[in-house]
Amino acid sequence: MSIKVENLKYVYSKKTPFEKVALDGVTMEIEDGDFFGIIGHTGSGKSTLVTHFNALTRVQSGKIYLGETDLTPKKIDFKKVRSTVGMVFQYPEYQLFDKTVEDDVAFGCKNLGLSKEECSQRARQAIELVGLDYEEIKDRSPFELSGGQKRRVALAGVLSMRPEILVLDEPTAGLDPRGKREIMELIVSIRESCPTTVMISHNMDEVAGFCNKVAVMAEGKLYGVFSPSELFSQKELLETLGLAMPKITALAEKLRERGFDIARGIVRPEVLVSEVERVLSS
Amino acid sequence: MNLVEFQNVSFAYNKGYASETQALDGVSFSVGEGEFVALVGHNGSGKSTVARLMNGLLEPTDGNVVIDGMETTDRQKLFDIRKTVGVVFQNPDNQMVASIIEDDVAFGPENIGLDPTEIRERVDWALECVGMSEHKKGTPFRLSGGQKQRIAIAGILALKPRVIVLDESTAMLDPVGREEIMNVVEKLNKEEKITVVMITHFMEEALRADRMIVLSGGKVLMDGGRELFERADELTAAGLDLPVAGDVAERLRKDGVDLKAGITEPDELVEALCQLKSRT
Repeated sequence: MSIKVENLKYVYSKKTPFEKVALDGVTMEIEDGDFFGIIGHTGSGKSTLVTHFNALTRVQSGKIYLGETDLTPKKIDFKKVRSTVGMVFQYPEYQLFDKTVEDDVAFGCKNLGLSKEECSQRARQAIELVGLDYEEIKDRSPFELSGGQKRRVALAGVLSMRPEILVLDEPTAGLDPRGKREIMELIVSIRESCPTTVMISHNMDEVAGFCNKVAVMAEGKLYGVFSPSELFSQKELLETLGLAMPKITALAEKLRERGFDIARGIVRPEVLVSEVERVLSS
Repeated sequence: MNLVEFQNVSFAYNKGYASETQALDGVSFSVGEGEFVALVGHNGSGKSTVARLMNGLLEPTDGNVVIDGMETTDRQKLFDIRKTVGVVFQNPDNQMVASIIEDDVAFGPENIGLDPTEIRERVDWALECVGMSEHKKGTPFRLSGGQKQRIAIAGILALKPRVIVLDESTAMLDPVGREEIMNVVEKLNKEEKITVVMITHFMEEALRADRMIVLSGGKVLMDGGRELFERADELTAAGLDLPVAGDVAERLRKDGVDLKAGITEPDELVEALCQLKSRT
């Protein structure tokens, strides 16, 4: 399912001394099957933008279409929208609350008004989808799990509603390197059943390694949508926006400056390694 | 004498219950005055337990934790120990106690009963150290994560500790906020001569310390300087990442490119590769 955003504007605390323009005329399209990255500084409007996607933030000005559905009218089918767009907030494990893992994961389904059997079947499927052992974990308290497990359970809670688009805000923040890798692998595997992924991230290495498109936000405006290698080969642009290059791209850039004839915008270590080996053996 | 001394320390959560978990198992290390030590390890390796043992929030189930000659199990000394070792935690929002920044920083000094002029001086100095002086009359709730975390550090600094422990204090911040904290920490170590123990997952941050202690499964796996990065395979097996330059160097080495082990810095790798290139 696609998301179309047209000239979206949003102002917080309108007509008060704290008035702040969060989005200022954003137009973009996320297509079916995209792994869409959104980057930009804290306060650039990323979260305001994505919370529009499931109508948590309502349209003040401009338009949003979720597939064919217009999200602009005051009255929309909220249940449908919120189950279509699964929103995983930053540190989703802080939102765990129920007595058992199964109840916590099934909570969203219950709110959708599904039958008890359906809820429990979906919970089971979601728990297995995030790589946990259903029988072993279903009756445990979510609070006694490890950090990585909690995050998986929180993710399962969103997946149980069978979203078609998954929106993730900093999914790997606070995890150790192994945990980060595992969660990213999990997100890739989820794409089989939920093919469109939107990911906000400060981690340029992850954006470079996984996304096919990257939107750059700055001060409420969309600076542009790029492919990772297109974006990260523009050193000057990144510097003006105050964004870091992925470390691997920065390393490749240093080598280029020293006369290594290698491609621009390298975003994967294995590519850099083979480029360097090619230069050395020529 | 060492400022921080862990002597064969073990710790188990919920000791005696079915859910007993051994978090640390015979950990020994010491930190001298003025050192900047990074403590790294995968989730669940026992890093945060070490932080909590260091200022007596937890007591060892076995062995001794000695801070500046004081055992943390000695209740009489707990107050002095907490004045010596300050801990900054992960989530900046959980560490704000007042609605005005300077009040927040003054909370610690007020609690140890200093007189108001001394408190004033310490608060001003602490905010100066973290570069937040111009915000002192503002509210912490409108700050960025990095700024909030700098206020949390100032709150600890105002107690004039000799050791600051940062328990993944950069984990929730964006790259800009992370850099702010790293700069403040380096400055405190170099200029104010404060001993720093920094717990982190980010190997790039660990590289900025003088020494690195690697924990794995509740035990000390490695303890040393830069040379630890020569043991790339062991670091990866302990669930850690190599710094990017180290990762690329290691891949090239495995493919037979003539590089020395333990490269960590991009410039170092670029130099070495340029030399190789000029030889061909």
